[in-house]
Amino acid sequence: MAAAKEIRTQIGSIKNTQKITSAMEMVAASKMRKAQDLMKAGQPYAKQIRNVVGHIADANPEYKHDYMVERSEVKRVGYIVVSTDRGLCGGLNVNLFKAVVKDAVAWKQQGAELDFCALGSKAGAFFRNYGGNLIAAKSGLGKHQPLRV
Amino acid sequence: MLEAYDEGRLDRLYVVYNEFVNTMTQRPVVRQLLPLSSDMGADAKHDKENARPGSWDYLYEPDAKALLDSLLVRFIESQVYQAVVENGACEQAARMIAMKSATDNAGNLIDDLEMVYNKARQAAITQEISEIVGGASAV
Repeated sequence: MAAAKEIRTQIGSIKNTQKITSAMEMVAASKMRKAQDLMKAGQPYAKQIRNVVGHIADANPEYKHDYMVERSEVKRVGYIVVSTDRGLCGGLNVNLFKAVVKDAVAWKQQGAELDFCALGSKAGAFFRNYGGNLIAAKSGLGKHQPLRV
Repeated sequence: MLEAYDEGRLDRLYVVYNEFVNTMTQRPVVRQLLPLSSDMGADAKHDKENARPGSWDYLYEPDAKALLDSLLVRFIESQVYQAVVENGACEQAARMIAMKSATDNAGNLIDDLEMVYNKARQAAITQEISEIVGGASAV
């Protein structure tokens, strides 16, 4: 009966893990609703300001702001990478970093240097390891982020 | 980053975040922030075509140059903010999915183990019975 006892303890430990994961699932579900509301609240503003900027830029073709001029030679490329602060969210961050690295490698082959700005502790950790030029890192962006980060 | 761009140390700026498609899918996107891509003008044009008849062009005060200067910075900030918020929603959604599958997996594992446990118990009982029967018949 020694094996049966072992199996019983294993079942017990898995049941405990299940309890934790299901609790985290519920927490994430409620947080998701809040985060989605926040996202939806911001969307009209982002869209509208995009429209207004596009509109003004369209209406005044004679004035070219510095931001709108395509620079022919690209020597240095900057990335603002937005990641999460905590793990246990599937392949979310990994997929994101893969996309960044793919894009960055393409620029590197064209001889451009890379700068990274990491938002979220996961991105900070990743790019410290990756060896890019990390110029700014900020984590712990709360639920109510100020507009100016 | 903006300062770096102003000073000419950066020639291109991208923002990378997870786009929230729906609860089940999030897509990593790399969006060019600076220089502003030309498709924005296309967006505005598109809007103009869809605009209701009778709508008019706004007059901007003060002149467009001053307005653009301050507006563009605000615009970039809002885009980054939106990226952060959207990524936050994605994080929670992805975590929920990951935890859900973890819970399901744990359930499956428990079912399997329970099966093994019951089999082992039954085998032990059967063995005991056969031992008793064997002992009884020997007497």
